[in-house]
Amino acid sequence: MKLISTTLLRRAGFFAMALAVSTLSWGQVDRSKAPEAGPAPELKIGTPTKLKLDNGLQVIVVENHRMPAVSWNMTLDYPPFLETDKAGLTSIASDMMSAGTETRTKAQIAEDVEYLGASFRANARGFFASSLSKHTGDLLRIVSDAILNPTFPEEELEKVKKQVSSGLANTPTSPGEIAGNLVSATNFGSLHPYGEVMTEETLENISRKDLVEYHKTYFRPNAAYLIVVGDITPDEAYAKANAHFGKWYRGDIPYTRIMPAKFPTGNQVRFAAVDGAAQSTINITQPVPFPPGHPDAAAIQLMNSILGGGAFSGRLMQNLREDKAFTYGARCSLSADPVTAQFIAYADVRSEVTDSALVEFMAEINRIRDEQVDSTELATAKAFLSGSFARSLENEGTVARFALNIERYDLPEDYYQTYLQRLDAVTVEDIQRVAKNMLKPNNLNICVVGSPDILDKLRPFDTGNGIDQYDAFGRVRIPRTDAPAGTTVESVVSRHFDAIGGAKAWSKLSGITTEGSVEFGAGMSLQHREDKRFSKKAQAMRTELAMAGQPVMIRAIQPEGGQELQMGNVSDMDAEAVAMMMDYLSPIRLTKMDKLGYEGTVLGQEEVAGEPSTILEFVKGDIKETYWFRNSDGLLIQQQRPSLDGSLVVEKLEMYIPFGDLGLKLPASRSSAVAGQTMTIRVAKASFNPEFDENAFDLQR
Amino acid sequence: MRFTSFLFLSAAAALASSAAWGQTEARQIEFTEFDLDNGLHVILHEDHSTPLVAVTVLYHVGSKNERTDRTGMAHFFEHLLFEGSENLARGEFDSYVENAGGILNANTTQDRTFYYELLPSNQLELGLWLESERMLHAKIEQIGIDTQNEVVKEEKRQRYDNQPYGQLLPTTMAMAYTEHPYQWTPIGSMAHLDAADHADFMEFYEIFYVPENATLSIAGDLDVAETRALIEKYFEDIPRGGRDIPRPTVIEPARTAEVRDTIYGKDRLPLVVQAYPIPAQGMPDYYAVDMLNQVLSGGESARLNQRVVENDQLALFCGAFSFGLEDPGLTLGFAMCNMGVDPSQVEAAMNDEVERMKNELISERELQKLKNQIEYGFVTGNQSMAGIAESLANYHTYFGDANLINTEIERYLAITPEDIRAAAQKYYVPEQRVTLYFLHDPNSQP
Repeated sequence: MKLISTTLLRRAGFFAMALAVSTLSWGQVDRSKAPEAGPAPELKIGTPTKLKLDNGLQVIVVENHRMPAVSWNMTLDYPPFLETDKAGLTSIASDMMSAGTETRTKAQIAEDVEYLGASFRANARGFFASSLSKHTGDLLRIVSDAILNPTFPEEELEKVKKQVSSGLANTPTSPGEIAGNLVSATNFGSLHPYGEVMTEETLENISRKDLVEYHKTYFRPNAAYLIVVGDITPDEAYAKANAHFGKWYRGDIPYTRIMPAKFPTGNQVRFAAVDGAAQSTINITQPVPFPPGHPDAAAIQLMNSILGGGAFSGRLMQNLREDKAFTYGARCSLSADPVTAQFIAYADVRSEVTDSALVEFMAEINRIRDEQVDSTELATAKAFLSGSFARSLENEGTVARFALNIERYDLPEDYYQTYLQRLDAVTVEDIQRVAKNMLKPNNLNICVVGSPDILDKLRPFDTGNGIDQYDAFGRVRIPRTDAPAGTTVESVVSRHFDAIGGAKAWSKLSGITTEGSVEFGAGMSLQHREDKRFSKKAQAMRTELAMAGQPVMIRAIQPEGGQELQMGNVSDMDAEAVAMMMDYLSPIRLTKMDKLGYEGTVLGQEEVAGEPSTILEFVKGDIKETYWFRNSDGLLIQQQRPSLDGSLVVEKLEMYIPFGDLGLKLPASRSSAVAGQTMTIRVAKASFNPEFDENAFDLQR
Repeated sequence: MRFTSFLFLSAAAALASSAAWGQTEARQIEFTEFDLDNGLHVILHEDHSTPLVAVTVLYHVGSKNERTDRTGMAHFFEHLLFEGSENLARGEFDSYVENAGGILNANTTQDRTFYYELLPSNQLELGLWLESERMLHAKIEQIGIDTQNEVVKEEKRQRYDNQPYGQLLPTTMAMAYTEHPYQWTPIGSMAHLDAADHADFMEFYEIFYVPENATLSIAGDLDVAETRALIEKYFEDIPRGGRDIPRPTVIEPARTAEVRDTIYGKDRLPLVVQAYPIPAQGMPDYYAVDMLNQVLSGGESARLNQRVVENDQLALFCGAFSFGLEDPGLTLGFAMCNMGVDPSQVEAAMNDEVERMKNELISERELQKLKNQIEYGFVTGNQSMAGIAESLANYHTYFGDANLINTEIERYLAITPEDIRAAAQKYYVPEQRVTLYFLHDPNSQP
């Protein structure tokens, strides 16, 4: 009763006062100025309980009994890795994480979860699951089975790939997606995990085996955090986590060294064309050095907020929308990231004001570095960020997320308790200092997705190497031009052969043996020997890879069949592969493509590695081969054709040098991408018309 | 919306809405409500969990109240009402709220316009002052009209013209309604907005932005008595409008033959849309239709996804959901076909599943699953103060019963398998259907 009475007294007192005020001011409320704020309310930040299972799984519990429901959220903290020619692997893994186990099909998992009225979403970095408290046990049984024992069924993978492939087909008509690809590709590049973009080709390369391997490697309890929020005590949460995730074994998580992102040279305009686009999608962006826990984090957040990161009163929004009416919204973002952070200023503007909008963007980016911000602007930004912080606490998961960040990024225990103090301590000098440290206005990627007819207007903004054009997936699109009149398939091919010793000389060869090395990536090098016999009656080829003189792989092929020896096992090659290799064997194959049933076309010219080249394409049914010949000397420098496993492989041919005394030239280096690594075959020695022994083409001779 | 989205139709929103469902919960939401003399309805909900308060005003005006030669007016007006008032200079709406550490925004649907501020609880009075300024004497100047005219055009380009399948909802509504103003969407016509003059805006303001057409709904860390006193201080002297508030009375005539059309555009994947008319939200049959759609597409295990996406592998996604409105709305079925799939195959599979709903009762297990899903939705819904304030205002405005926030679950749980089958037979009628194919125009580049 005492408790109630004091509260009542306080309220009654306030009420009486309010009544008095309202009586006095009846009909004469002073509307001319904003009312004063009451005393600032106290912000209470709860402390979650942290526990650890024997296998290393860390459990963070936020107990809250407002509703009879509990949510479970797992995060796997492994460093991002390069997916190379399987870009999209983690994305597909996300779709496949609840696609079936030893005991449940994909449909059963969905049905069992939804029967409970519960929700469960798994992805490549964990899962989120939630249900009423009474269904927790049933839910966790399904969830732990899906997470620990996925089988990645082949037919489900095919289904997912078909859907994702359909989705990719829509990318070229979605300016937002194109812009996202353009930003990742240009800020990070294809050698950085954030810069990889899934395409039809990389999607095709992803197999069930990759998913199994991926899960085995990265789904380990010692890399996992389990956040539990809701109607549950820490003890119960621990017991449930132990029951469902306790028999999960530790494993070593590989660490990939990631290349630092590179600034562009000068301001680089990057353009992707969408015919008939109603707007230009602008992203002005660059990588920035901003890891979580950065000592200037509060000042950086405030600087971003003043420039346009969130509040409606941000400079970009006020300038480009409220003053100029170029756009529905202009903003910027700059968030900490453990690998590489990026700054992006962005807006969708109508096509005809694209250049005017860029002028304003550049002016605002420069202004925040060149001039101190106004103290009232800083005060607004502080109020806005403290307000966001307070609002975020409305969601009970927020304190759990704070605890997770403290663990993952090794932040001080009171990092979030002291956040508002750090925010408050930031000065206008700090804002200018961090703006200068973070934003480099002469090294920006100016990414624009829009109608091709605005391209010319973008030229003045490029202070780098000229405007690069990209396709929908962030790949550089080198404009193709027509080949000079009179260029024919025959003229291009015969120029190539003239440059390597003449088609006639090549047609008379009975065989070639080359010796050298093959390198996989940077680490591994093997000896390489290839024997080829061209004579029509006895076509054959044999390839041998050896390590310190010991063969590790041999492939021997003759028209009637082929065999492979690998790790001591002999296997027969399938007839289709044999036929393909035999088809590729002839050294003068390109001179007789029409006889082989291919239709040849001169596609035009484009640059390959900076060299203007002429492109020939040969088509037979659904087989397509493409060849690039360097204009300066006529040599074939790149080819793209089906490989043994059916995928299209691009091979670069370099360093044509004469071997032996016939004056015939061979490329001393041939490189291609295989399983995410560059494979380079180097020829050190070649003999033409060698004498082959009787058993020269046997698997083991 | 001024800066988020219309209540717009997208696949994602549809799937989310069918999965997240539910406006009520087991925990009782307590609230106080009263009317001021000028007709302003007030609803207050007290919750001290976080020192925040959501101040919201719902005006019962949306695109369905627009003149046929001024479509887009309600939404455009929403933009204009951030421009200032007698006591607020241009831009000050934003700066007051943001200086106080709050956020503000608004959105417009076919039926209502909704403004809100989310503030630290010691700034409650600021929110009341701002909203009372907006209601009493907003200032509408030519510079604001000109600027927002361009901004809204950019919004339309961004949200519709430059968006994959951006024309889906406007086209569907235009085909599904011939008489009723639901035939246009809140974004409206840019030509109409260009034609509107200052007098049009003042008239709109005087008719619709009056206390008797508004609900002030506040939720959060507040004291009911103190808040009531403050509301009286700021809102009591706002005069009634007193004019009749026009509401459409036209009843959309029932279609007697299916309407079919094909729309060609840039987008690569074929999209199939089916729209059937349904009762207004809150009508008994509305709940049966909603349950029916939950069976068809309430989650991954629901029938349409299992059949069309998983088993037949015809589509990237396939779903059906109720587009409930104050006047009779639509149930929308849609599917985005996989590359190379003939949309008629997808349509046939969707029709097949609808036929099953008409011919068979759902199983015991499916019924239990529905109930579990509903229970979960109601228990876990209504977590944020902004959400609670909005739901209370909606329930009051549309049904005159804010307490439906606690009791609407009973209406759902009362639905039987027989009701669901009857709803399928009554509303999923092929002759009343609009079927649209959105196909790739081979002449469009890339």
